[in-house]
Order: sequence, then C-alpha cells, then structure tokens
Amino acid sequence: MLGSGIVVVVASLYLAGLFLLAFWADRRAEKGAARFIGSPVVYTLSLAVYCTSWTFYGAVGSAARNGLEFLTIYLGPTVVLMGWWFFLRKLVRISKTQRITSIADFLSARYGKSPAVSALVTLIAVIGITPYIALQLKAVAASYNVIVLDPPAPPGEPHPAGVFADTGFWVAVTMAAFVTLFGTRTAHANERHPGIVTAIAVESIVKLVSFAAIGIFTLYMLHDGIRDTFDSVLGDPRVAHMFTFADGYEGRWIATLFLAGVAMVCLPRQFQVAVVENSDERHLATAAWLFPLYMLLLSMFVVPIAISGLTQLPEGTNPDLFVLTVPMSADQGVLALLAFIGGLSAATSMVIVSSIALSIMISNHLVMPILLRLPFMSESRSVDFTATLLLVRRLSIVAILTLGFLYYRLTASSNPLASIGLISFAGVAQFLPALVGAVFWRRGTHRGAIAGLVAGFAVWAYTLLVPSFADAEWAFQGLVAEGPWGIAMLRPTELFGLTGWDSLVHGLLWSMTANVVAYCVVSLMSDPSPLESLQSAVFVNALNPSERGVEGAVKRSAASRDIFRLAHRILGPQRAHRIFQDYTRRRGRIDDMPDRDEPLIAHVERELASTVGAASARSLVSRIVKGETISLDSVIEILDRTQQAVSTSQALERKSRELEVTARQLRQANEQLTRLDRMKDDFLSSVSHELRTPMTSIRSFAEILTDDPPPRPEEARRFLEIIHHESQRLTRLLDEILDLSRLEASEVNWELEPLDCRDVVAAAIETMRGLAEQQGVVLENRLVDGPVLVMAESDRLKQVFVNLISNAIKHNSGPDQLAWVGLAGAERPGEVVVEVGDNGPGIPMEERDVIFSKFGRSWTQRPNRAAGTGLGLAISRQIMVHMGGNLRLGETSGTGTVFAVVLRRAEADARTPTAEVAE
Amino acid sequence: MNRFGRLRDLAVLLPVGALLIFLPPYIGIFDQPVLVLGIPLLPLAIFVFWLVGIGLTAVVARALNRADAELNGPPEQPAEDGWTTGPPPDGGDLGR
Repeated sequence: MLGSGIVVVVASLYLAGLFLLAFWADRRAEKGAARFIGSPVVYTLSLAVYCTSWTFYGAVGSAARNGLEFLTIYLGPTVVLMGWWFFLRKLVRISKTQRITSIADFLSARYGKSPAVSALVTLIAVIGITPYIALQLKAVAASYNVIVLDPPAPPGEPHPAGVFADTGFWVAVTMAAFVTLFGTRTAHANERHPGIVTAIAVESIVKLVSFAAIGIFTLYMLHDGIRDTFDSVLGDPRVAHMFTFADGYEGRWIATLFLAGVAMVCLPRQFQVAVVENSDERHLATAAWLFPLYMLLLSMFVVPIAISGLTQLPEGTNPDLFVLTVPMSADQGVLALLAFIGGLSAATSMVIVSSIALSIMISNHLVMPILLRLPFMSESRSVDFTATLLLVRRLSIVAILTLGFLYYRLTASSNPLASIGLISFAGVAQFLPALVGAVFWRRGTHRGAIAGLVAGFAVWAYTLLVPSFADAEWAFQGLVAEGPWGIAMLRPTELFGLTGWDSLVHGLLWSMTANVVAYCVVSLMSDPSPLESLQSAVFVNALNPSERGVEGAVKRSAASRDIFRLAHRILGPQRAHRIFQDYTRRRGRIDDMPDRDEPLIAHVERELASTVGAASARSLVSRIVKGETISLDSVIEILDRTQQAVSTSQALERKSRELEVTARQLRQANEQLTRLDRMKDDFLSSVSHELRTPMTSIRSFAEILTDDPPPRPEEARRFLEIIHHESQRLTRLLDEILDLSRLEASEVNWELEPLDCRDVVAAAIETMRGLAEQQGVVLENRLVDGPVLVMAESDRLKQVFVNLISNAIKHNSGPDQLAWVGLAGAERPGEVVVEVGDNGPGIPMEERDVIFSKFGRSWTQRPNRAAGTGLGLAISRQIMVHMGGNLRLGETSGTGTVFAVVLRRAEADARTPTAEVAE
Repeated sequence: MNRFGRLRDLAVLLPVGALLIFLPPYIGIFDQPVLVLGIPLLPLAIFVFWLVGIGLTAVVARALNRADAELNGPPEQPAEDGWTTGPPPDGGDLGR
C-alpha cells in the first residue's frame, strides 16, 4: 500500500512532465527544428496509442479469464500492418492529397463530399467511443483505489464518494485541460499535433517499460526464470486454460482477430495517428514491423503475470488489476507505482488522442455545417472564424470527456474491461465496408454508404449495446430477456433464434451482415453523382501515378476577390496570404499562363478542407462560385483513362513503325542523292573535257593565224574554216547541255497533240537523206500505209528520230549499208512502238547500260569525232519520257542495232488493235 | 521491374499467409499438451510465428521501399502548407 499523497504527487509530476514535453515539442516544431518528430520510430510509438489501459490491465485479465484469446487483439493489427503496402499506404496517400482530417472526413470526401456521411460517421464514432473513454477513466480510478486503499474496495461497489472525490473525475479534468491546450492550439492544416504526438510516443515507451518491469519481476523474482514459471504451474487447474484452446474457441477467436484488425484503421484515434498525423509515407514501412514487435514484447509478459496472479493471489482478486496487485502482494511499492504510471500513460494517451480525433469530427461535421448555415456566421465579416472553430473544438472535448465520465459513473460496476473495449471495436467496425469500398470499389455510392452505416449501426446497438446496458442492470433488461413485445425470435442476443452463440460473435455477425448487404445492394441500385464518380476515381486509383489532375473535370469560376475573402475569413489573414502567395509563386514560376479559375478554387477548397473538412469546404466554396458543372464528358474521360493509356501506347507503336518506314525511305533517298551527286560530278568533268577539246583546237589555230610571219592565205582560210567548224560544235554542245538540263528540270511546256507518226518519220528521213547519201547508206521507210496517230510534240519527236537515224547512218558498217524505220508490236495497249535500226557492229555489252547517260560513250571511242556530242541519246530519252513514252535499246548484235521509240497512242486511234498496226 | 513486381506480390501474400496461420483450423494444430523448452507449445508456436512474420515483413518492407524509390523516386511529400495534387489540371508540370 502506498500513501495517496505519494501517488498523487508522482502522477501529477508525470503529467506535468508530459505537459512540458508537449509544450517543448510544439515550440521546436514551430521553429522547424523538431526533426525527431518526423522519424519513423516516433510514428510507430504514436501508433502504440492502440495499447490502452485495456491492454495494460485488461490483457492480463482477459488471459486469466479466457486464456490466449487476448493475443488476437495484437495479432489482428499485426496482419493489417503486414499488408501496409496495399491498404494503409493507400489511405495515407489519399489523405495527403485530399487533406483529410478524420475518418469521417475521409468517407465523406469519397462519397461525394456528403455532409450526411460525415455527420453519421461522427455520431457512430461518438456513441461507440464514449464507453471506451469511460473504460479508461474506470481503469485509472480502479487502479488508484487499489494502490492507495488497503484492503482494496471490493469489486462491484460503486464510487464510495462524491464526484469530486472520484479519481476518474480528476483524470477527466486533467485530460480536458491537456487536450484543449495542445490539441486545439491551432486549427492548422493537416491536423498535425507535434506536441501531442511526442507526448504519446513517450507514454508508449513508459507503458512498455513499466509492463516489462512487472513481467520481468514475476519471471525472475517471483519465479526462477521462464522454465520455472511454467514448471511450477504444470498441471495446475487454475492456469491450464491459458495453454490450450477451450472447446468452441473458433468463433470468438476469429471475431476478435477480425475486430482488432479493423480497429487498427477504423478507430478514430488510430486513423488520426496512423493516417492523419503521418508525415511520410515511408514511415509505414518501418511501422509495419516495429509496431507488431512492440505489441509482441508487450504481450510476452501477459501470461507470466496472469500465472502469478492466479496462483499466488487469493482467489477472487480482480484479474484486471493483477498488474498492480502482483507487485503489491510482494510488497514492491515502487514497482506498483511504476505499474500505476504505466496504466495512467495507457489511459491518458488513449483519452487524449480519441478526444482530439472526436473533437475534430464533431466540430467539422456536426457543428460547423450548422454554424455555416447561420447568416451571421457566413455573411458577417466581423466573426473570427478560426477562433470560433477552436472554441467549438474545445467545447467538443469537454463534452466528450463529460459524456465519457457520465457513462463511467452510471455503469461503473459492470463489465470487465475487455468486453467494453470489444463492443466499441464492433461499433467502429461498422465503418469498414464503406472504408474498404471507398478505396477498392468504384461503384460504391453515398446512398449505399449511408444505408450500410445505418443498418450496421442499428443492429450493433440492438445486439451489443442494448445487452451491455441490460448486463449493467441499467436498462432494457426486459427487452433482452423476453424480446421486444415478447417476441423471442427478436431477442437481442439470440436474433432469429441463433442460440448458443457468444454474444459478441452473434452481434458482430448480424451487424456486419446487415451493413455489407445494405451497402452493396443500395450502391448497386443508386447512381453516383458526377462528383462521386470523380472522387471514386481519385480514391480507387490513388496509387496509380497516371491518375492525376482529375480536378480538371470540374469547371467553375469565381472572382478571385471572393475566393480570397473566403480564405481570409475561414483561415485567418496570415494563412490566406500565404496560400495565395504560394499559389501565385508556384504558378508564376512554371508558366505565365493567365490563371484559370478552377485550379485556384480547387487549391483553396483543399486548404479549407484541411481545416473544416471536405463537405463544409465544398459547401463554402459552392456559395461563391458560378457555373459549377462537372462535365460528364471529362468524368468519362477520366474514368476511361486506363483505356486511353492503352490506346495511346498503341498509337505510339504505330507512330514508331511509321517512323521506321520513313527512316528507311530517307536512307534510300540519301543513297540516291549521293549517286546523283556523283553523276553530276562525272557530268561536269565530262562537259569540261568535251568543251576543252574544241577550245584547244580553236586556240591553237588562232595562235597560228596571229603568228609572224602569217600563214599563207589558203592555209589561213582552211584554219578559219576549222575554227568556224569547232565553234559551231561548241555552240551545239552548249545548246544540247542547256536543252538536257531544261528537260531534266522538267522545265518544258510543250502542248502534246494527236499527230500522225508517219509524217514526222518521213520528215526526219528527208532531213537525213543528204547525210545518208553522203555516207552511201540506204534509208528505208518501212512504215505501213494508214495513219498512226500518237500524242506528241511534232518538232521534238522529229528531233528524236533525226538523232536516232543519224546514229543509225553513222554506225553503219556492213556490206550492204542500210538504215531503216519501222513499226513493231506494242507490249501494252495504248502504245505505239517505232523502231529505228541499222546493220552496224552493234553495241558492246559493257556499253549497253550507259548509252542513255550523258557522255555515255566516250569521245575517243567514237569513230567519227565530229559526229556528235554524246548527249543525243540522253536528250532523246528525256524527250520521250516527257511525252509519256520511252526510248529503249531493242536488239543489238554483230549484225545491227535496233532502238525502240515508245509513243502514247492518241485517243481517237486507241481502239485500233495493235497487232493490226504491227502487220 | 521484375524484382519490384515480385516484392509487391510478396507484400500482399505475406499478410494473407500470416492470417491463415493464425486462424483455425491451422492454429489448432499446435494445441497439444507438449512442452518445448519448458514452455507449452501453443503460446510458443503463436509467438514464434508472430516473430517470423515480423522479421519477414521487415525484410520485404525495406526491400520494397528501396525498389520503389529506385523505380519512382522518393514519394511526394506535401509542403508544410500543402501543394499536394501534382500537376495543375491544365496539364502543366510543376517540375519536381
């Protein structure tokens, strides 16, 4: 037994230390110097707010009563944390981008920023958590009574003294002071509380250390090590149930495992520390193993303490307080005091975080929506909104703790610690279907969420809360015993005749069934609003990096003056200015695009949401914006973004294939250009060569003429003739080069007309007759009678024939010298082929490929130097191509060569069969 | 990518495996009146599985965080007064 004075002083010093610590951490954080708060270890320790006095005292009690079942309370969260990658991480990511302030805000934001959803969640949370807070007060009061009273007050006796002598009252008052001081100092963005988090982390260490101290004490002082602890009780019927499962343990085992896992995210205080206060997503990776390790270390000592309590304390001692009574029975006052401080830590940290989380929910989702509807709040500029908000939060905290205290006073003697905790867990578990649906099921609607919450909560209240009141002999005893209106089928603990079930399993089964069925069925029956579709896309695809910027679907506009005024009023002048500065700076730095309205509005709405919650922020903003529409097209586009990504990648593939083809074509074109460039070089050197020869001869004869003494007159005359002749050749050469380059550049504009080919051939033959006679060559015109109409330009066609005939004459070498022109059979309809032949030596194999290129036959090889320029065939072919025909080499052999002129048949003659003409 | 995908699947399978082993009937297998190292088998088995699960989670979580950082860079941290929604809706990139 310890003197009450010592206990009160130590407890007060401890709490004062926490106050100082929180104050110091808040100060450091304001200066940005509190880096340790952003460490994963502090984050993990803050999660340990999960281990309340229910763990600290109740786990041993539960082990003593129900054996190993207490382990499920820690195994459930372990499994949830092991799956951090796909669930908790998603919640954290969403909460960061949406500036979520609580679990009510989260669900409301997902279900179309519905104020109804958040209000409902808040109500359920308050009703579900109040008994839990009462439980903490009860634990502290009971532990205080045990530690200072000797003998301890017999269990079941209600509070011996008035309210002011009740330890629970003073705990509640201290907690209210603490939370109003540190939990509501600012209504700041993200609802982070560095001071509180630091205090919670330290309390978690105190909890673990003091519990471990008791455990080690029982293992090594009361017993001789682990082996001895178990050896000494082997076969003892009082403890045997702790090493084995009772018959039919499965139902409760599964139910408590499930509830504990769910509580890890659905309890408002767990959501607060795990999601809202999370400063870095990567901390989850550490907490995923470190927090289960914390729970493992804590629960390791539960069984030894329970063994000691059951075997060494007198029968009938309250097992919920073994943690205190075991060291006290061994006269270890200091150890007992340490245990008391540990229990106090567990209780206070839970009360602190729960009341903060609930006060944020109450102020944002119950009070603010009403206040904002009042004209003097929304219109008057004189009302300091931030101060009002903080006042509401403080009042909410006082109200929550008052409610918890009242519940504790009224039901003080009833339920063991663990069962109240489990009923609370089952209450908040009603959030689970809506929460899981929020992040994994796009089809879930806000009507479905409301239906599920209402149904689940109603069944929970009926099957679990009502019987717990009845157990406390407080109310509803008749209803629980006989059922409503005496209908036994509807008895709360044996609904629809399900008898023989544990009441927790029974209540959980029915409430979750009602909840899930209502949520799914109503969701499928109702259509989501466009905003819901938008939010569901944002939430469900939160981890998908391609799903971003979906707010672009909302089109609305407002005067920036109005937006600023709104931010100014709700967030206060300082924050409003900073928000706008940040905004313009960030926008300005990226681009100088004129500000569109929606990004600014969305930004301010998010900032507002971080203070008053998504639903209220939306209602505030929608009062000042004009033309708020969510374009259905954009929503559909966002929803189909995956599809879009697929089609984009297909388009990219197609593009890349096209690019490959283009690259290949470019390569080919490049090769061709290189070849042409080389040909041009060859041509230039040929031309220079061709020009140089006549020029040389002209120059040398001119020099002879100007020599002293001058040549004889007849000689001079001959030289002048040669000069004249060579000049003519030069001129002809240049003319032909010009002609060819014009043809190659397609700078021709001849009018093609139908004409009779025979006339042109006859004219060409007449032109060449003189040359033929001079060479002794017989010229034969083998063209048949009757017109051969072709599309051509008369002078140019004649030029081609003249060229070919002149070649034929020049290359005659056979015994009977002959050159001829005749028709041949066309390969294709619509063509006329005229052949020009000789009986010369033919064209050598190696020259056949080059005769149509410029200077294809080198000057020196030509038998008659003065005969041509080497451009004739090239020009002729160009002319024919321009006329839509062709010029090609026919047969060539030792006995003659044939060139074929391909012409386009004129329309009027097109019907005449070619064969006929050929004959 | 392959390694990352494997780790991600492991991170999903690990809690599922842990859940199964902690659920009846599997956990009931260890409900035997046997002492191992002087400790009854059932609580010992639960604690051993628990510890192994914690160890595996730690290994996978560290590897996953590293692989994720390699793949996607460090996760985006909102500035203290928040600018968290990534590129503005007009498609401009903030160029983190």
